[in-house]
Amino acid sequence: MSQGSESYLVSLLGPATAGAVVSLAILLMIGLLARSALGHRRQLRKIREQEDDLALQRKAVDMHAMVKITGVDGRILYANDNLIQTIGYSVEELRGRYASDVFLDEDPRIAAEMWETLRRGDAWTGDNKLRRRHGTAIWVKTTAIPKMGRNGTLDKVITVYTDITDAKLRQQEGPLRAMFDRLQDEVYIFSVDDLRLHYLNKRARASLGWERLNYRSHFLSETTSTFDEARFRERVAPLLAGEVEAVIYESSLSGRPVEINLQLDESVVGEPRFVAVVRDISQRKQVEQARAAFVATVTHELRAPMTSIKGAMKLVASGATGPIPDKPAQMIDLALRNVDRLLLLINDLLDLEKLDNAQTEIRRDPVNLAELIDDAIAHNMGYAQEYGVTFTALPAMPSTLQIVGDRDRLMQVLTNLMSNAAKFSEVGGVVEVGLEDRGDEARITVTDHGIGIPEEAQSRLFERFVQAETAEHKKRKGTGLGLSIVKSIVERHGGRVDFFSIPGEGTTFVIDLPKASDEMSRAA
Amino acid sequence: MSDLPKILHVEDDPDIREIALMALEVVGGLDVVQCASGAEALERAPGIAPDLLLLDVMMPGMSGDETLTALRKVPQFSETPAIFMTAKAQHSEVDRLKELGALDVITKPFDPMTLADQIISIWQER
Repeated sequence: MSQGSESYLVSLLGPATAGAVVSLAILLMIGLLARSALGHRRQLRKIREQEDDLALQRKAVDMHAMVKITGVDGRILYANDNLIQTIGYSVEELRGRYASDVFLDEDPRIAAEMWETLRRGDAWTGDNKLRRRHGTAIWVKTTAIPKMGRNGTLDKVITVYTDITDAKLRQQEGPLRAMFDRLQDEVYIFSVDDLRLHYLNKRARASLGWERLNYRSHFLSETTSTFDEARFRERVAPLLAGEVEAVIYESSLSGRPVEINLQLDESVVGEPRFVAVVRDISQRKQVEQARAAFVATVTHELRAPMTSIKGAMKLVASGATGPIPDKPAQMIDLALRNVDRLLLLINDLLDLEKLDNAQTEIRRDPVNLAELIDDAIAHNMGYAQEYGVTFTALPAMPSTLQIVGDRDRLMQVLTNLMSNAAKFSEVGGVVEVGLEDRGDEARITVTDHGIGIPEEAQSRLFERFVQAETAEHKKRKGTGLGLSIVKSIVERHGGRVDFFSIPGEGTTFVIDLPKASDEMSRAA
Repeated sequence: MSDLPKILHVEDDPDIREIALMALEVVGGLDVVQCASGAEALERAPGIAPDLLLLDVMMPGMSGDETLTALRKVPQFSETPAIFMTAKAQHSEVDRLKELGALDVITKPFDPMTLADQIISIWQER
């Protein structure tokens, strides 16, 4: 209260009353001030509570979702920990860059539509794909909220991403999974990294007795007590290295023989996954066993009488049973030649039957191919003499070239090709056997300069009982199974066989076999 | 004992027995005694006292490998060299028979003119 006002009050009310009024006014002012301070404290407390709530909300958002803040130009200003951990880039690597340059897969048209929405001050929502640093991707639900400046223009954008990969996968694979559930085979889908189960079809769940179990929290190792992860990793290594499209092997699951077809699925977003189709092959095994038993029986039942017929005739022809006149001797020779032909046919048929049967063993020994060729030339000298030709190994054969395989079967391949080559050569001709190192493969060639293969017979040459029908070919007829056997054996070794032939000039057969790595040779 | 072994040949097929007898005795000049079954071989073997056992594999009743296993339990034949004859020439079969202690395996049909030489050669290389 100013001094002038006080004098005025004193003159108006007298000194005592004026003093009381002033005191009252002062008390009133103090009261007002105190009340104002109390209200301020309450407000402060309320603001602090709101701040705490906001901090908690932010923590919840940070835990649940990935958040980034970009400037009006789209460059990243901030990324929360969740986003950084999910996509695998550091804050420094992201700051100042465009999300689409680093981790965001977006359609330019949709991006333009989003920015238009944000500039109007409206929020935008949609689905996007985020690429992770190590190559995989995830689907996210995106919510972008604009922060407008004082002049009403866009200042910043706060974007929140929520991982919806699982839901997307279910949506994408829904029809596929319904189909898998109708299959008689078991289907297992599991992650590459930790072999966590993503999906089991109905048959697989039934086989495991897991109809009511939430298998998503389980691992492949829990599906069978005999699971050997090291062995499994070894098996799938070529698949992960991209060397093969599928790994197929036989195994035993709960005592049942099964065939497992494993493939890598990278077609969907998220982690790459293994898809294993497990087929019960109990029935097939029974059929194979029955076939093997049949072959064994036929082998015995056909060869036993052939042993007697051939043996008896040979003994007679040799004179061991007493002298025989010329004419009967000629007839016995004729019969013996046909017994040999019949034996050859029986052996070829049984060989094919055995090779067709997956149960028939193919040895896995290291085989030096140059040595094999030398032995084959020595072994087939009889054919060379019979047809008046010379077998020769081409010069510069790689002497250390090895494959892993069945030496006897490979000898059979060379014998079949070399005897054919001799048979279809002119007297005095040369049959060349070559060997070449072609990187991952070894190439063996058998070349003759004989009558060649007529064009009309070439396309069906590896079919059973197919032989060229010309008079020249009929004269030199075989069983018609030799080349089918060659093809079967070469394919059982993981190789290929082909030929080039010019009628009247000759034929070259080419065999390509996968070379043995040092590791394979050691393991064999 | 002469240089050439006395052979006990066990074979169920009478025709093959006859061919083998001709091949071994007439062509090869070997001393051969034949039995038509594993059971007969077990009964007669101690009296025959062979130097070499020549056994067919697939025989009804007692197979060739069962016959060898049974003979091995008789001390007199615990180490008598044996050769199998079989029409099954698969590696696994040959390996299995060799693991039983056979010197070698001859596949059928055999050549009667060379059978004796083949057996003598295996006998001498043992």
